[in-house]
Amino acid sequence: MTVGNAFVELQKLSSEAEDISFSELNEKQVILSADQLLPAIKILHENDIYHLSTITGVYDKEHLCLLYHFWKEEGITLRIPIIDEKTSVETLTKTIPGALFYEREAAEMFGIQIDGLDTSEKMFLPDNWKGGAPMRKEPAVAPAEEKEED
Amino acid sequence: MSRVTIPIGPQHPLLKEPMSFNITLEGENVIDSALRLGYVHRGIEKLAETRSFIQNITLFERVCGICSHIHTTTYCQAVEGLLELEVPRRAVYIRMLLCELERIHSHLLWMGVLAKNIGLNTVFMYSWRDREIVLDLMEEISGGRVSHAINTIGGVRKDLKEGQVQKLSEGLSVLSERVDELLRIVDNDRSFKARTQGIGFLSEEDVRRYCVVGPVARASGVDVDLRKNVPYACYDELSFKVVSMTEGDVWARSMVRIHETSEAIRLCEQIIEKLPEGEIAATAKRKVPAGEFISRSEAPRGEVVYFVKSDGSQTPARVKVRTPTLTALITLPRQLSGLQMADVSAVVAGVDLCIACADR
Repeated sequence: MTVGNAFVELQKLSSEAEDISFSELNEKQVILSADQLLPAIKILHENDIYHLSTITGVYDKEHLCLLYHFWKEEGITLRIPIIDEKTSVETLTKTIPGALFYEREAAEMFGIQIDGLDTSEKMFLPDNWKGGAPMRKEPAVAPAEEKEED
Repeated sequence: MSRVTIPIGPQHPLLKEPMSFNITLEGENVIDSALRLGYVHRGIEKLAETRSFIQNITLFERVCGICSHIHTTTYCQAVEGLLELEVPRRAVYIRMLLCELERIHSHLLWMGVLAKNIGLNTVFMYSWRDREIVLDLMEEISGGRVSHAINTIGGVRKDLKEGQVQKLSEGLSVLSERVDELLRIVDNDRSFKARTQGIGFLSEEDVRRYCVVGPVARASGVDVDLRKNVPYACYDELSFKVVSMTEGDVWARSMVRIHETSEAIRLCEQIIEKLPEGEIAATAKRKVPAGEFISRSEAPRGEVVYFVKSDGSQTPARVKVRTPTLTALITLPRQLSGLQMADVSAVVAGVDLCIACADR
């Protein structure tokens, strides 16, 4: 089983990750720190797992996390906690161009810094949006005082 | 030669839903294209966090205006997973029946859109005429032509009656003949082939790198179908073929979709034949135990994923919706590069875009 092999290898990476407890998922999941993302993707590719279903931003036990849901006959999820405002993740678009809109969405909706991703123009939010990242529970950017122009 | 940028959308006859699409031309040749989404972004995922689990069914039915039933089915599967609820088999079969009718409806609608975009108005009229049959059947079962409101957490809200089964059988046999006729056109018509063959090519490698799903992926030789690979509902009890081709162009996508429509008709017939007796819904608690659940299913356009997180209350803490066309959109500039302006309409229709799904 390719996902099984990848899971065992990813768990070795994960053993060095911080030991915060996270929610259980009905599919295999590995908790990784932000800088382990690219090595983890390499392991997945070596095991012939290419399909990225989506990237989910979610608050889990006070931590904002990014969930990378991969699939190959069965699902495997990489859970990356975004510990603080300085935490950023690398873009996957160099190896998985299909991740582009998922990353743009995570960046716009959750205000997560994704290194190497061009976010100079909005993709989902209006061009004149000034309200910060709308899916954040705490405002990532101070909401604009002035009213939005039409 | 000087370059010209032509804006297509947000409102444009080529697009059925709003999206901005700037095409840079050098003479008649497409050099570059740039996308902008968000014109139908309704903040559904955020809104879902303010409504109860049961209220959200109505909300997710409105993610897509074509494949509404698959969204509620996938969402209900996730919530039922968190509740560890066993759904009665009859309810699962009725859900599958609607899913397959919806596939027929979506593919016939798409056939009309493609035919219209490439100037084959007769095919457009025929396929939309035939689509009426399946819309009427869905209305007969659920009361709604597009939004069926038949799913609930734990099962379905309406049972299938004997008279309806009879009407279904009759409708399906008419549809079966009509779809064969469409297949004959796609497979033989010279005009159709001239406008679609070798256009909008995606290789198997492209499909893998861009995470493309559904009929577009299957037309490029990637035969992934979640109904077969991860048999959710009761798809493992039914027999059907996963149709795939290797050409990777708009013609191959048409062939895949038409063959899939025939398979969906066969699936509906099997579902009616094997429909189990019994209850149509299990009682579900309003409060959902804390946890996270991923539910996957095969929509007419490909993989739909719902990630549902509950904190133990009556409202979900987070719902993430993955819709199939978001990744297909990213491939558009690649598919269009090097083609002529006149081919843009065929390529855009060929991927079967659903902008409302992509935006949510």
